[in-house]
Amino acid sequence: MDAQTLYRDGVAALKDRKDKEEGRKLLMQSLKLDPNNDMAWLWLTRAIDDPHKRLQCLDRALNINPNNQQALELKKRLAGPDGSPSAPPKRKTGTMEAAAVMPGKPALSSANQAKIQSFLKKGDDLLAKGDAEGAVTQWVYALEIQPDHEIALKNAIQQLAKLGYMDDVKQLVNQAIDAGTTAPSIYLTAIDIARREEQHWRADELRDRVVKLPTADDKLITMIVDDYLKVGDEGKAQHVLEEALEAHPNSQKLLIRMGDLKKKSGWKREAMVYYDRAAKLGVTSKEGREADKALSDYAPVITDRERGSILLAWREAFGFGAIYLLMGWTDAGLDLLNMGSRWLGVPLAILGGYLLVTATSSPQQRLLGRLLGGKVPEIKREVGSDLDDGIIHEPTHLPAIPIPFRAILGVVGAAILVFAFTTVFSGALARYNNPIRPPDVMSLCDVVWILDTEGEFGGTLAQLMACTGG
Amino acid sequence: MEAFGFLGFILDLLFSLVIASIQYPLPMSDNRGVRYKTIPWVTVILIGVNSLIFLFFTAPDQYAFNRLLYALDSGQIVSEDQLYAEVGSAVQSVYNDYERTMLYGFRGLNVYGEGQSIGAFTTFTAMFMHADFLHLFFNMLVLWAFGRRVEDACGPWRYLLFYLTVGLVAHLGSDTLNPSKATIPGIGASGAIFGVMGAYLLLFPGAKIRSLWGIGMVLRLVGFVFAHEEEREWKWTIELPAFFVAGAMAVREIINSLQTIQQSQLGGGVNNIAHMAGLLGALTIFLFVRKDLLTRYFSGRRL
Repeated sequence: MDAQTLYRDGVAALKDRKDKEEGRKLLMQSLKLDPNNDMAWLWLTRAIDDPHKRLQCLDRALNINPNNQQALELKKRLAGPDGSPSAPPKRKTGTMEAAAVMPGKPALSSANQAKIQSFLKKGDDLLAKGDAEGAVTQWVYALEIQPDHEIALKNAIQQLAKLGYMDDVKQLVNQAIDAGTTAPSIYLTAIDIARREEQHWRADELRDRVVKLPTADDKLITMIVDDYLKVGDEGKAQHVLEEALEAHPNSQKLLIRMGDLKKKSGWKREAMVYYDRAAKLGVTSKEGREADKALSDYAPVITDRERGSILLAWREAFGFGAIYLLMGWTDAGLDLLNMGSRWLGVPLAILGGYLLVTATSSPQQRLLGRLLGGKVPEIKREVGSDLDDGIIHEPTHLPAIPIPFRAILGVVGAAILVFAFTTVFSGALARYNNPIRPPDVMSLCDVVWILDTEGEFGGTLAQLMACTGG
Repeated sequence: MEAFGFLGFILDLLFSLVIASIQYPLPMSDNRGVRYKTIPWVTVILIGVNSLIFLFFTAPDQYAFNRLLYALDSGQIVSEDQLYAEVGSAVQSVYNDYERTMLYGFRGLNVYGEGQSIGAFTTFTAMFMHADFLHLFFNMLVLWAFGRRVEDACGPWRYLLFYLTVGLVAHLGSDTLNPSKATIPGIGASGAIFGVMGAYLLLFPGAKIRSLWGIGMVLRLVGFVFAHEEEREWKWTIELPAFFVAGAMAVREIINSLQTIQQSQLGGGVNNIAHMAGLLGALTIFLFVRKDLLTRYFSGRRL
């Protein structure tokens, strides 16, 4: 599709369907082909939430066309009284960062832009007349002004390749890359050239660079990964994904892809960590649900979020409190007003429970670990070996309470729980040491006399079982 | 001859199972594996302890009259003295059963005042006593079907605490909501087991339970007869949604217990209110589940 069509579709997506994501994608594609469309930059502001980036888009539009009234008015509104933009809204997770919008180069002056347009037009005219070499010359003039101009580069490469001047193609592409282009298509062309020339190290280097580009989307990255997998190079495929994930840590698709690769290589536990990261970004998206489903057959992942939570530790302590409260209530004859000193046992149980929980299952609580001088424990990452509790432990950054302290906390906690038990169950303990037979429980002889009088034994049974009286 | 007696007992049990399974699905097991540990130690130990207590303490006294009748039928009793001795032994056994229930079953009213033999400890002893073999069997079956996964979700120690907590809630709920029945001792693990079942429904609402179900088997048989040969596959059990299996039991308990409260019944029998209270007690599961499971639960992820 050409730049104009993409531009029109992008505007339609924003205006008619109110689809920001689709509109942004189409406008970005259009601007890659034709970066000098001031209206496209203006429309792009409507697809971005970050006010800083919106201002940058407006600056680009105004650099191309300083008389664009709409851009001027919008810039006044966005810039605010002191010239700084308003606070950025929350970003949607699981999508590519909006930073992908902006190539990081200063805008061309309008004079240069006009020159480029002129060279492009001349090139098109010469090509139409059959003068391919002349056309290429014009496009090369345009590239001298802007080495990474996509249309000029694409046209020049096409014709040079047809004419057989591959060295020139390579030179133009490398110039564009050296100029800091962020257009993935240029990198892909360079990769293709390097592969054909069997300069595999160069191709790998370019792949590493392209996946880190803010403009690289999930589709491009997975395409590169697939290229490696086709030739059986799983190691490089994983390496590329690792590089990509450094630049795009919130891409659920890439995280799932990495998980799939790790699983295929036999690193199941590492795979689960990636699936878990993808699922934690949200399970409302298709990728999120896919990641969550992939996890459901395997052991769960425990992370620092759970390890360090003081709230979760107290939650378990309140479980102790609940059971002790119920015991005290039972011991008081189901009369809360009669509980008396048993009430003391409930907060003691919560305290004792918290100390015991801290010592056993929550030794890495955020504040305590640091206060008590703990070190960050090393988590073994052994493939194929089963961990004791079947859980995958993601690497931790939280210090754990040292073992001697944990032992003390555990013993003190247990002692408090035992004391709390004697408090809430005081009545039962007294009764246990001195049991009383409930008055309504019949004795054996009572039963026997009932059978003898109501049955047919005529006193014989009572005599047999040595029951006197009646 | 004794072997025939035992065989008769087994046949009796199977017949009861068939009759029971026609009425409602009998849960056999969960359809998915556990995620943390492979051996549900506490569930196994609870079933073991309950069974051993029944076998060594309750069963010998429970079946005393069966032994007496067997002795009479088999001609073992040849004199009057022998008869009275056998009858006396049977009476002693029946009395032992009665006394054990009265002393160690849970009675909430005046626990502290007039005293029960061992006071509030009976709330725990009652959880491990069962009225008869079928009472034990069906309770343990449900515990096996639902308990393993709940134990997996909590970890063994927390699961044990949860089990005891819901058992307590069941007893307390029963005596609070129906005080007229509070002097009648309650025994059985049903309240705790309904709590475990309720926790299972809360944590795994979409799960399926492999069940033995008479009506389901009839329907499956029809399907089996009319299916294409290559599609025929006979299974004795059927996988049903957990909500169907447990929910049907829960609804029945709730209706019966509401009727009991309304009519303030004094008689013994099934303590539906304790079952309902145990179900409500299942809400405490969130105090006992593993940390990472809790965070996954509240972020809408699979457990």
